[in-house]
Amino acid sequence: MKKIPKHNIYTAPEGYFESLTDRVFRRKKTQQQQRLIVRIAAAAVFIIGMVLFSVRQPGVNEGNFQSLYDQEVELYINSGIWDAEDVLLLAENPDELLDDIIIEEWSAYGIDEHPTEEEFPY
Amino acid sequence: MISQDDLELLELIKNPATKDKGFKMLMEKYQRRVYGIIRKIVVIHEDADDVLQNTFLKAYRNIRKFKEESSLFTWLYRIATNESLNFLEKKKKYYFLPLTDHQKVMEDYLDSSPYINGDDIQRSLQKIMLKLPEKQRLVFNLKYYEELSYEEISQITDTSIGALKASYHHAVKKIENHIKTEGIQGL
Repeated sequence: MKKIPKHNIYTAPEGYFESLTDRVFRRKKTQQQQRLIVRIAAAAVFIIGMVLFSVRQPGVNEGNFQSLYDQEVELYINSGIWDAEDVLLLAENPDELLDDIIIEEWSAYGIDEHPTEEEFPY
Repeated sequence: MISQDDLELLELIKNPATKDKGFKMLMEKYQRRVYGIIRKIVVIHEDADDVLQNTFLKAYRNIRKFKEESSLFTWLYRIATNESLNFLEKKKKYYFLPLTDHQKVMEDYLDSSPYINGDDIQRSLQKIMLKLPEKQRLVFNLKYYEELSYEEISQITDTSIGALKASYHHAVKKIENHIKTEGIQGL
């Protein structure tokens, strides 16, 4: 091994070490900025994910909400907790509901709501 | 064992008001030696520059964790050698298709780069050393070229002295065999 020369064949460019400190500190600053951007992006993704997750929860959708409401009303009526009067009081359009009920019941008796002169001889 | 100079540097670095100034002084003191060992491992100057900067950045971020049981130099060398070996490992994974071999890239660099200052024999020797496994090549460089003691190399590589002696002995044998096989004149 004594024959193997110990000469260092690796050299650096002229002025390399004089500027090294500045380059290291510039890289430090760049890496700090990149880490900050990554943290902000991760926080934004997390917040957006949470918002999307809560919006897509089942039962919050309007269509689902209406059918759930109807099912609950039916349950209250069938169990006798609510009677007809309670339902009419809670309805947004009680007069329309009453009209519908009358038409349905009169049609069962064959009574026309708007009789013509011929049909109503009086 | 830490020197008085290094203790004074550490005092400057521990103080937030003088941390950057202290660290710049540390860099100016050790940059050439740390560059030297990195360069011997990764060979290519541009790669050594990248690894060297990352080494000092890692040292800056972790200087509070430095235990004054070893010297600053040993601690820096440890970061530098780990960064260098990790760099070479990444290069191997990057070249997962056997189209380009990074060892061949380093051998070609020895023949063509303006940042190599050696005659044919010296360049041939470096090419032979490239045939050694990276860790064995590291141990050989630290022992033969850097002339470190086995105790220091053990602290740097976290390897037992016995294992280091065996590794160095095998490295020497392989190099001597290659020199004979390749008939390198002058050695």
